[in-house]
Amino acid sequence: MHASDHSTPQLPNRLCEDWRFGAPHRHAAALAQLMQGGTRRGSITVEGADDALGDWHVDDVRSIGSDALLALHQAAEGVGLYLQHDYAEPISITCETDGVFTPAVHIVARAGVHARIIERHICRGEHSAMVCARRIVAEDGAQISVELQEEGCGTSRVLNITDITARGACVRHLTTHANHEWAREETTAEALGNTADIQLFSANRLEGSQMLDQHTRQLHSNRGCASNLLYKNVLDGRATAVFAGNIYVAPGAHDTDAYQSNRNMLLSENATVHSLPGLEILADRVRCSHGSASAPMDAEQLFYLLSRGIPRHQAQLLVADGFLNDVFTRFRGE
Amino acid sequence: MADVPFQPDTRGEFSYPENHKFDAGYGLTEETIDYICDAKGEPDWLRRFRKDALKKFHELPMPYHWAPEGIRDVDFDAIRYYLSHGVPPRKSWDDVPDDVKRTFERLGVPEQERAFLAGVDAQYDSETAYNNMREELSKQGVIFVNSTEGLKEHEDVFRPWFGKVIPVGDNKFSALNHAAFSGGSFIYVPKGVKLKQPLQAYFRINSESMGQFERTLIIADEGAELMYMEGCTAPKFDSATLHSGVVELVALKGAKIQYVTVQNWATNVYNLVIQRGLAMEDAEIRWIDCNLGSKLTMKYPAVVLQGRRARGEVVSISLARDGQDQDTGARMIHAAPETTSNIVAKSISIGKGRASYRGEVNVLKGTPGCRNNTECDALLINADSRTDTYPAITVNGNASAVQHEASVSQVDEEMLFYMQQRGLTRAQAMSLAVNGFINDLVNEFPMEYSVELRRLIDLEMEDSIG
Amino acid sequence: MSLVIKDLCARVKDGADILKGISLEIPKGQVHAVMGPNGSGKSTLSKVLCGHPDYEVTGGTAELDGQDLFSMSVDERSRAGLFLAFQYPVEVPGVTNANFLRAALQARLPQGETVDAVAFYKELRAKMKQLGMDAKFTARAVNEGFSGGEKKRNDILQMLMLQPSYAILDETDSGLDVDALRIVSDGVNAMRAPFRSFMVITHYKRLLDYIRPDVVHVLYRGRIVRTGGFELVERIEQEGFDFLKD
Repeated sequence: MHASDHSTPQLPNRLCEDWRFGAPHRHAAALAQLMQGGTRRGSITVEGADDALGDWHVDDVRSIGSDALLALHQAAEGVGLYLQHDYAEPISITCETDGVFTPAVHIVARAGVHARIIERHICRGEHSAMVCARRIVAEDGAQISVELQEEGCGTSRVLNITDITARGACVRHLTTHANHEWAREETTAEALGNTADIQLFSANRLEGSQMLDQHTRQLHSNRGCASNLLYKNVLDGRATAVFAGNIYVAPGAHDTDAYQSNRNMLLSENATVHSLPGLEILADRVRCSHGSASAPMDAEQLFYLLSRGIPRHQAQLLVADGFLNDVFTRFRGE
Repeated sequence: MADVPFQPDTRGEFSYPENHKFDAGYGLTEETIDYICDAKGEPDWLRRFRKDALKKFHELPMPYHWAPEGIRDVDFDAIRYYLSHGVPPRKSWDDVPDDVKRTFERLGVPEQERAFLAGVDAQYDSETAYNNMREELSKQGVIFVNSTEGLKEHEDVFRPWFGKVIPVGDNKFSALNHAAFSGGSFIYVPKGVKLKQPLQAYFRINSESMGQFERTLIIADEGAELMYMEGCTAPKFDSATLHSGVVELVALKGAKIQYVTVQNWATNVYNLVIQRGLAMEDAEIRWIDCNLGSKLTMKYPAVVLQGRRARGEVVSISLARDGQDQDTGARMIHAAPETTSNIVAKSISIGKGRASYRGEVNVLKGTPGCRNNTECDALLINADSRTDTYPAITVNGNASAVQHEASVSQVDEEMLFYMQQRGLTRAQAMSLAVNGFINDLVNEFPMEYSVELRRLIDLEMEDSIG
Repeated sequence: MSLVIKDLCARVKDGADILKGISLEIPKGQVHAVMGPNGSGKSTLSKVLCGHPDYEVTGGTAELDGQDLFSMSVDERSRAGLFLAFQYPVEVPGVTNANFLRAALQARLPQGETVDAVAFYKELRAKMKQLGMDAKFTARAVNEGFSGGEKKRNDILQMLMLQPSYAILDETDSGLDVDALRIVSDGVNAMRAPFRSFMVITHYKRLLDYIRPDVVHVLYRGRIVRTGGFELVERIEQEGFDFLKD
């Protein structure tokens, strides 16, 4: 939580609290090198809404330990959505690259607007990389849901730095990752106004030597807001998942409801989970809890499926999918 | 007045004039170490050992992860590293220097000894003033002496484990303790011997700017069982005092050690303690920990589960009032298959107090069948109280299960109203509610302690709210 | 064709012996009741036959239509025609009833064939109606948040859908009210056929009044101590299991 004293941010190293587990700093170094080196290429397409051209900026996006990478980001391309009325159909944003790409996504939902955004990030080329700075702002009474789908090619690296502000609004945010060698998420979500409600979800299946490094902050600066987080992973092979979350309830942010839950299902003896769910509470009348559970697949569940004649491999898939489905169901608000 | 039963002053907010033969002065240098070694009459190997540790202490950084910000305020040069009457430990209270004896009498230590203890080690500033154990235990081969005597008289048992559970270079405070240690207990319980009554150590700081660096090593041989209790108090001075003890436990195959702490330092004491136990096959180590006092406490009792089916447990209560930072928690390292651990931590923050939980649970590779369950509950009493929870959980492999649950809550206003309507003051009602919150954990303490603990908590609550 | 159990001994893995030499034969077309006091080994018998990993067989054999049951995995036993209605059906979060049943039916088809979705749903709805279950149960996760009675009904629904040749009902009557008991029993009775047999495990006569057994076994301390007809059920109802102690 401690900001660096240096004026120019340093690249992450192992001593940084936010870059502590699973040796992620070497990926940070690789990303920095890619951004400093070759040309950046990629495309952004938007469907279902107008890109309010030029009206995006991500300079003040809050990172969780990646200020140095954000400084190198220098978003050359981006999309800015300024949502002023309800959208019946989902808006789609697609960022795609086969090299190194540093897009910016800026979504502002005006008061009362209802909208659903599906954002896809696709890395195609070998060793491709995407560093995306994202800012999502929802004003009074707005209700928006953003679904970020990350698709990699096995050797790709991605970093998403997301900054969500819900000002008396409701924001639901879901991320899923598939097939990246390394993926890192830094999600800062701030609830402002008296009735803001932020719901953060993530559901991932990791295998091979994939690594997912997720960092979240739920910031409660005003009283009476709610936030909820549910991040689930299924890990196979030599996969590693890091979850480092923090709920910060500022002095005076009384009557806050904040929850945080990280659940991991480990399917292989070589899979590793690091889970650091943190709480910092400085206010009164706060309802706050967090939980973290990492365990193998439930043997009784598996037995139940087997006893109905479903072959073991398929039974495992079903149970693992069921474990993650719970996240999608909650994201949809069912 | 003669009818009023003796009421010990377990908060220990009193002091006597200093009366030291040895005073190493302020700051820690090679000369300080020579002074300590000379005063204690220590062998050369120990002198070299202390000096090596001093080098490490200077080299090592302040802990950058896993530490409260407050430890940066510790001024190591403003601390006195060795203060002693120059009198060897006595086996009878009658032989203990008068001011020291009166101190422990006021704290109720001799009385407790008579009532329910198997032995007592009472430390006053840097050295043990009194050490005695029931005779039948000596006959069974139980050793209970202070660390100085332990190294002198029982080097063959002590030295092989000395600094093995908590190495010199483990962190800055470990190095500090290895350089400056004095006092603390050395206990050895032979194979199969099960102590029915607890052994107790009492740590008392009496002098301003004192640094107390006790060193405790407890070895329970195969199948042995014991309970050890430590109490700590100090008067409040204008300048800060430092308590930086190191406690190492070794539970060999099938052994069982329970280590009970009731820490009630004055609110200008930095209490930076390292406690770690090594549990071998089928052994069990329980840390039962209550932190009421100090300005800043940084203490995360640990169990390294080194043998198959070893069990570890931490039961922790902490109370943080205005100006206090209780940074407590637990560490469980699962280094063998089928090891289990349990952590239950409850904290109460009052006024501007800050209570933090830091917990590490690590299931290493190749250790299937491990289980950990952690529960942390925090109670916030006032609007500007603070509580933090920082768990770090690592799980390797698909054959172990780790679960952590934490919650933060306030005292239910309806419940307070209900009790107030029945005629209790708000402070009394709050005190009852707080006692209810930690009731199940207080019951984990030995009965004689739990009664005292409830009384202390009542006092603290009345002071803070009443 | 029958289920033949010979001298079956089993224990909790690394634990106590529970089954101490059980022999019984259930020919096709028959309903056998297994009764016995708590802890006699009734549930263990059902779990051992299905291959629950908590138990290990320490002796004896079991054959299903001549096939060695113990050489088969849990799912193979199921596909060979063995079905267990659990005493405590398991909750499987996130997996819908419909997907679960489809996967189970699919596993029974030869390679290359797939379950016809339309026919599947039609049949599922009909069977649910038969058991008095709400159609919305298809989209709910298996047993998740179900009441005790709903779970039992759901297990019987699975039996109706999977059409096993040997079904074990492990205390299916516990947790069911009278109406539910009748509905579930009707479902079971409708499945009685010359090519199918049942092992009905229960403490009470009331289930056996609905599902009349051909043979009654009494299990006590891991052994079958009595085998007979319905008169055994009536004696147990009147005297309890005390008479077994002699």
